[in-house]
Amino acid sequence: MTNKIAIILICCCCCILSARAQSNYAIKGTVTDTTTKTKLDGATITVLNAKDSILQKFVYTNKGAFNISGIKPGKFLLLVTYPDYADYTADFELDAAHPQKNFDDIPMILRSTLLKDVIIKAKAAAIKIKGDTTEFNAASYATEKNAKVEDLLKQLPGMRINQSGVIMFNGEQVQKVLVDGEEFFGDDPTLVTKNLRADMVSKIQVYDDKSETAKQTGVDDGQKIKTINVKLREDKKRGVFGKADAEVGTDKRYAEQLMANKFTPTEKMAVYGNLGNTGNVGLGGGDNDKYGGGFSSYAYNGVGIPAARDAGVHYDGKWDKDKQTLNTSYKVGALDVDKKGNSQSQISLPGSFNHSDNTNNAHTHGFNQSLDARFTAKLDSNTSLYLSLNGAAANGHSVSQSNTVTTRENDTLLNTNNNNTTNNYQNKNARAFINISKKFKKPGRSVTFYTSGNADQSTSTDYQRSDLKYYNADGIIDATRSKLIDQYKPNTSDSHFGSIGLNYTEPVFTKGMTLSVGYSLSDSKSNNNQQSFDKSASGVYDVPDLLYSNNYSTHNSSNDYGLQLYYSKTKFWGFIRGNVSNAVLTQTDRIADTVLTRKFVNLYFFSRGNYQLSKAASINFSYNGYTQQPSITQIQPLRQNSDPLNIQLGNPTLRPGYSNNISAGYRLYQTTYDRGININVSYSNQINAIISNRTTDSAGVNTYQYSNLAGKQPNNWNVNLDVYGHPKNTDLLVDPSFGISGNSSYNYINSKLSQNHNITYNPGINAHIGKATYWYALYLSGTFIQNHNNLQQVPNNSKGYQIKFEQYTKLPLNFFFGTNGQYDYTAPNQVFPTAFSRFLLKAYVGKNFLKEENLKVAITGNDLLNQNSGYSRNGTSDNFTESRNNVIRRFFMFSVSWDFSKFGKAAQTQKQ
Amino acid sequence: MKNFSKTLITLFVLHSGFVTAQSKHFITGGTIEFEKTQNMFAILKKKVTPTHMDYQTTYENYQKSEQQFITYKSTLIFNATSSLFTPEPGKSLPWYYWAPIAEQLNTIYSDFGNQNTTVQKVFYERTYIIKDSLRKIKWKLTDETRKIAGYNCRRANGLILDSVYVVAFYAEDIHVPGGPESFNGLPGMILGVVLPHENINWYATKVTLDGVDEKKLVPPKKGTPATYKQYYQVLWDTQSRYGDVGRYYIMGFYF
Repeated sequence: MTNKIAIILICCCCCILSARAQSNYAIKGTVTDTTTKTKLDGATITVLNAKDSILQKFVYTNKGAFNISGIKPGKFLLLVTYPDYADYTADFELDAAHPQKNFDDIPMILRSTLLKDVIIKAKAAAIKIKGDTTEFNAASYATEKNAKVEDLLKQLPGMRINQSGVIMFNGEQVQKVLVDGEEFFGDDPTLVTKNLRADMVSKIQVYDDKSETAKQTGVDDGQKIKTINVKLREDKKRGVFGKADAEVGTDKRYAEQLMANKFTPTEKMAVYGNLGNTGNVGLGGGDNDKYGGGFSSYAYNGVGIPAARDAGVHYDGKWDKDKQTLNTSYKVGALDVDKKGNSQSQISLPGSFNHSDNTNNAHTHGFNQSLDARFTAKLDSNTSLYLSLNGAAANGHSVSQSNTVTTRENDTLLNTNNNNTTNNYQNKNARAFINISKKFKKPGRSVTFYTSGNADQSTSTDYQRSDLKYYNADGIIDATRSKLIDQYKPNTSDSHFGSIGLNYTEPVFTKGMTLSVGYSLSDSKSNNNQQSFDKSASGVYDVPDLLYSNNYSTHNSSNDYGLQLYYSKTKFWGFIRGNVSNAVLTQTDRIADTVLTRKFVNLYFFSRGNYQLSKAASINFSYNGYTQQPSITQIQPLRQNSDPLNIQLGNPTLRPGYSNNISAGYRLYQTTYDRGININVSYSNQINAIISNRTTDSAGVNTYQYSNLAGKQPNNWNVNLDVYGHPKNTDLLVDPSFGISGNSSYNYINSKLSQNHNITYNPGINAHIGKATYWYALYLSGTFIQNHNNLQQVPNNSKGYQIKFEQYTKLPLNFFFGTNGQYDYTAPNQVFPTAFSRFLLKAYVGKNFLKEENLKVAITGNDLLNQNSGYSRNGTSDNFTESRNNVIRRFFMFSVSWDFSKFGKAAQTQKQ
Repeated sequence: MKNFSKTLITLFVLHSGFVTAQSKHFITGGTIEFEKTQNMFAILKKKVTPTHMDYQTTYENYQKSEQQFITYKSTLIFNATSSLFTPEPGKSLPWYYWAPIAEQLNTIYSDFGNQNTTVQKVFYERTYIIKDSLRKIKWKLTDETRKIAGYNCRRANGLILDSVYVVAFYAEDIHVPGGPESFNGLPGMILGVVLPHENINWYATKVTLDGVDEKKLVPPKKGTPATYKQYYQVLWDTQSRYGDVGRYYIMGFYF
């Protein structure tokens, strides 16, 4: 008996002790298999709320026993489970009176068929910065129905588009716009931005591409081509779309446009035609760069009244599992421009100045055609071929007349010139480029062979009649110097260029590093025969003027050796490159029978790199150093009398200069805030720079020559900061920016060194907000220039600001209304005593018809305040000029435009 | 005294369970491979909200060009007292077809002994390390069962983040109260999770019982330290301005 009491006491003590140690409320027990009478180890003991079966506690039995404490008082369900055994449940309640519950020997029964099988049926970031590529997600930017790529681009932070379609990204001009990595109509940006629909775009990528030459030869020339790649959405790669637009207006204005495109995943076809005299259509100048400016001698730059007609077709396709591709386009265009203008210039002289007043008018007509074709083929899995052919032909004529009156500082007459010229020209050129590159089995090893050839030919016939009169200090005509020029000037020139090169790349040292060696040989020959004939007594231009006739042939050959080290790792890529070339330049003057030979050794160093600091940020740097070889026109230009007041002389003693350019950038984009920072810094200087050397004689004739600058180095520097983001809880995008740039430039004026120093401050802020139904944008910017010139008492300091706004609102019943305004103000300064201000205001109202809102009727008022005066002013250390030109002013336009589109592939249905 | 000794021995024997016959071996270590399946049509439909109607086109484009169901893989390694959940990179969707709930943004270490967790969360360009107690989930047990990856699992219905309904299936054979992502707290390893209203599920595809490399079973380290509460504040500050979509994103990032 005593023993039994002792056991109970011990047990009680144990219980009390354990209860105190943990909690008042606890349960315990053991679990036994009913068949084998053995304790079940590892059975799951769960305590659930009796009311809602929410799990409170669980333990596993240890050798069949369990103990759960820390339970709150209440009504519970005990659930005991063990694999393959039926569940055991029991209700229990814990309260102050019964804080513990003991489950002795819970019997578990093997389950046979209790299993029930149950089957359970079951915004975004906008920008990504990857290496040196900024990628915008088109879906993050809402555009109205039938909007074009241009409407999408202007919403992107850092992107600006001016009225003639020039795109700037973070202050740098975008030179190329590609579609899915392919050129579309050459690379004329406006034909992509004004033609393709915004709803076809999945992504906009902006990056610095290599130049075409660098890509094809594998020899990086350090050039950066700011490129936009428009990536199309998969579902919009098959379809037909386009636009037809007809506009008539007051003041005989008209504009007609037609664009049609057919896309399939492997082919793109497009045609366009434009007709207009509003200055907005058919003026794409993209090709001018490609054909070195000679392609079309006349272009429209906002001055004068243009009439343009142009058309083009484009095809690109790929076949044979994309092993072969062809990209070709043909363009034809004509442009007539009527110009009338007046300009006032002040030409600096040491301690004084001359004033010049010029009125001019001109009519120009140009007609041009071009055909481009590019073909690529994979000859086998490692060898590829690239072939490009370009041909262009242009002709045109112009008639121009100008009157110049130059006076001295004391207002006495210095000279007058009445100049009439007519000009007819014809240009033709053809280019070919072939590249074959082969990769080897060893990763990174490759060889590239390339060759190219160009042929250019041009002829022109000019008539010039110039009546130049000089006046002495008393204002009396100086008959001995005054001169009447009445000449016929036929001109023919041709040039041929050929080059051949080889580049070999080998992986070295470590993974991701390659070394390239390259050699190229190039040779060019050109002939330039410009004759001048005076009028004989019989009235025929048959008296040769040998002084102003030129017949030169130029031969230029060079050997170039290059070495490049390239390294890329996960977060870094970069290269260093050095080139040496020896160039031999020979110019033969066939009239004077002299030969000029110059030899140059040119050195080039390039380096570029990019490092991804984190997911959000990257830095990049570049260095360019190169010899500035004097050009043939600087050494020995053609003798000209076309502008007797401004004469160019050569300088055979010119030595090469050397230019250093260094730049670095930092970019950060935080997806979480949709905000970012761009910082760009650059510096460049020229050693032994080639600068202009002007001598103005007492008669006011300017003679220009080039000289080397000793002891000083012209330089430029630039710091740009651009921040963008959203104020808290808004969709408004605010983009403040600040730029400071400075330059020091030098030129000789009458043997004195003119030193010009400028510092320019550019603060600005942009804000815009847009949805499919509205778009509001405001751009404010200021320009403050501090100028110092050692020869001038009067600094040309300048202050000005610009306000631009855009508004588009969709009204009920598919009406819409919008305004665009631009206000420019330049404060008066000591050079220009009057302030300049101009407010250009455009407004439009219209209505969309049809279900897709793709028929649009609108009335537009252009330059409502009639303030477009064609005024511009610019000043350099050498001279300040104000000019006024006739331009397109106020007019009203009625327009009907129809967008059509049909894309393939229907939506999949929702699967269950 | 003799009886007393006998009784003591009997008690001892009872407690130590010499008499139990262990018919079952319970698992307390191994590796589980999970597969996450998501219905992208339904997920992207959620991004079309009254304030973001313009997403409708993107949603329709997805339907035309992309697949409805996307799967991702992940791995859970565990021992008796801890587990580490690591997602594997999978198909990366264009970011406009993106929703945080449809991503695998979390690497999760759970310490069941100390009831705390270390979660590495990728939040766009940032990475956070959340050190907090294990996520509390209200579980209701049911008597439904099903077999997942060869293991019998019992269904439990749960509620996370106050409003998100969860269905989980846990294997009683695995005596570790863990699971994929931050799902935990059931009397057995969770081998299946369904978020019916979020159109996502996770199912174990393979369970291996080989020994776990304890060196790998360590908390993630890199990231900005935070608690769940602090992280939520960050989400709120950055995402709430996107309106309904922002709230949907917060849930996706936070869950």
